[in-house]
Amino acid sequence: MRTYILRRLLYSVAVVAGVLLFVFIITHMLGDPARMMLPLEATDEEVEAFREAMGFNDPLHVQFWRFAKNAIRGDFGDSLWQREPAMGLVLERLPATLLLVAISVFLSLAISIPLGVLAALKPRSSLDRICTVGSLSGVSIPDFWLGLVLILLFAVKLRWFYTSGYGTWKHLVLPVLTLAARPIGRITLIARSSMIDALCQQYVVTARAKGLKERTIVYRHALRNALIPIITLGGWQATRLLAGLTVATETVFAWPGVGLLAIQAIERRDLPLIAADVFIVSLLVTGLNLFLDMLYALCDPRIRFE
Amino acid sequence: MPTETLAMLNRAEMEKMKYRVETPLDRIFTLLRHLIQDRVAWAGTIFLFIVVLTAIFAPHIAPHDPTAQDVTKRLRPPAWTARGLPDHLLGTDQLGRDVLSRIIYGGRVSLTVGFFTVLCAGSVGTILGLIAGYYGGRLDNLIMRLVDIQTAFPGLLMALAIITMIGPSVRNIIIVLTINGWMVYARMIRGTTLALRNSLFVDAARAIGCRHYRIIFLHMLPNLASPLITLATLELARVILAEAVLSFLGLGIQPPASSWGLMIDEGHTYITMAWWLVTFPGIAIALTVLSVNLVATWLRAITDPLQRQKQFGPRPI
Repeated sequence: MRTYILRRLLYSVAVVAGVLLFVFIITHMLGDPARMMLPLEATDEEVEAFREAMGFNDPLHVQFWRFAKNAIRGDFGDSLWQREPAMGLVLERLPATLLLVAISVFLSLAISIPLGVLAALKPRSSLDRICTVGSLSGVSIPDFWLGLVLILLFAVKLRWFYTSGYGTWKHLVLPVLTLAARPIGRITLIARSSMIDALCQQYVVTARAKGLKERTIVYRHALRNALIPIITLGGWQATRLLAGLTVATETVFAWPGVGLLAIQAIERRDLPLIAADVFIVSLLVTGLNLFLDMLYALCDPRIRFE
Repeated sequence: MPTETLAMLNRAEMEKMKYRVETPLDRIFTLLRHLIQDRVAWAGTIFLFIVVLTAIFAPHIAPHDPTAQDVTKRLRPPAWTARGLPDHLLGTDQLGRDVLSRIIYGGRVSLTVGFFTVLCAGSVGTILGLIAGYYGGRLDNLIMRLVDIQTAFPGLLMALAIITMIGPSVRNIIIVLTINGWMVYARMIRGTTLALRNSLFVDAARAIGCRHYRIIFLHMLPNLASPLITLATLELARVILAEAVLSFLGLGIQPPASSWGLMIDEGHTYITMAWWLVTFPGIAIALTVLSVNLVATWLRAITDPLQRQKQFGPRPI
């Protein structure tokens, strides 16, 4: 177990190093950071002076070393737009995104698992067909468009919820529904197929032969085993949501999270803020992955001895 | 068929076998027959076919020039409503442009980006996956660690950041989405290659002195075709959605060109007074992606017996 944890930790460090390198390449090597950050009317002398002041004229490895050292200390420089440390701005926005993602993932698990199990119990029934086509639709609908349609229906026409903003549960309903649509589809499909898998296993035959009640067989024997891939996918969906799928939803609902911040930073060409945002989100995703890996190792001894 | 069995067949049976050999045309017909039997997948195929045709023949099909503006006809609703104009079936936008024509032309962009991204990411991923799986060792380790690290990246956020720096254009979107998507193929191909590497026909090819690249590309690759096609179809759905998101966020296709995502972006300012600007392009995206997904599900079921069992449910024991 210890070597497993150690290996996972080392691997996470490698991921973070990779992310740092990538963020550096994006912000320092693609295009000209000085021209990007200064207003369009800046003269050549001003650009050159700015470049010298920011250290953009140093050799790339010197720049990268400086960037990495500062990044690890949490210093990405001041945001050009807010004139405040970029890191603080990102951390301020983090809770809103985490709230949105957590509720969406739990909601989708709560809806998908029963649906998937029901569909798996009666394969080829009309309920199963509706579930499958419904899940595929959930996976296929562009989330930002779904958000706009929900706004049109429930905020503009029916006036049940607010079009945008942050604060009460009424603000939360539409963004959560928008964000949960795709995970619901994905998880329902997987829940159904892993449940069908589990119901085909030998231990189910044994349980039937022992004369156990169908309820016991389904919920205690099959579902427990089917849960592993479902939870894996749930965790994976959570990392994907964190890793950028919230961007469009937050933009549509003006939800003050890190996704919206990324878009605002990009619109203002605020490189320190972009770097801080991408780095923090990557750290979170890496941390969540690490946590999920540990969780599997705890639940499934086979993984530990891999 | 194993060689021992073949040797046991007598001459007459060999003669019969000759006529039973399946030609590629036969195989296509069999596939088509299966496809028509699955009504949902068949509907998806037909819809996709229509979308592709309208995209290719857009100039002949679109009722209007998608960029022609007419301020006297701004924000007219669809033709079947009271204020609608009969020659603008799905209404007009804030500049008086025909929504239907823009959707037809927008399909060109979405499908082009989708097709080329899948082609590029698929090629890169397949080649790296084949190399990793076939050679193994340190090279394999290096490629797979790269895959792992990149899978942990926040893909869309990175894509947005890269586009900001290199500027939005169709070519750059394809590049960014390729960087974002090659790992899926590499991982899948490597896994299958590992299994194939020790199979008899690869040993045989090696024994008669085939070079590595010949074994990889002529012996192993054809055997990877069906999982690869299924994965590519699934990825096509994802890429079309990703392009739509990029365009919606203003970092994809730029005006005056039109793409479905961009139309939603332009229309959402007018959402309270012109619902049709947002609704129809969204339906176009959703139906196209749904059709691609339906076809992918069917493909997976037809090529993988284990999946088929899941698709249609278990046989009663």
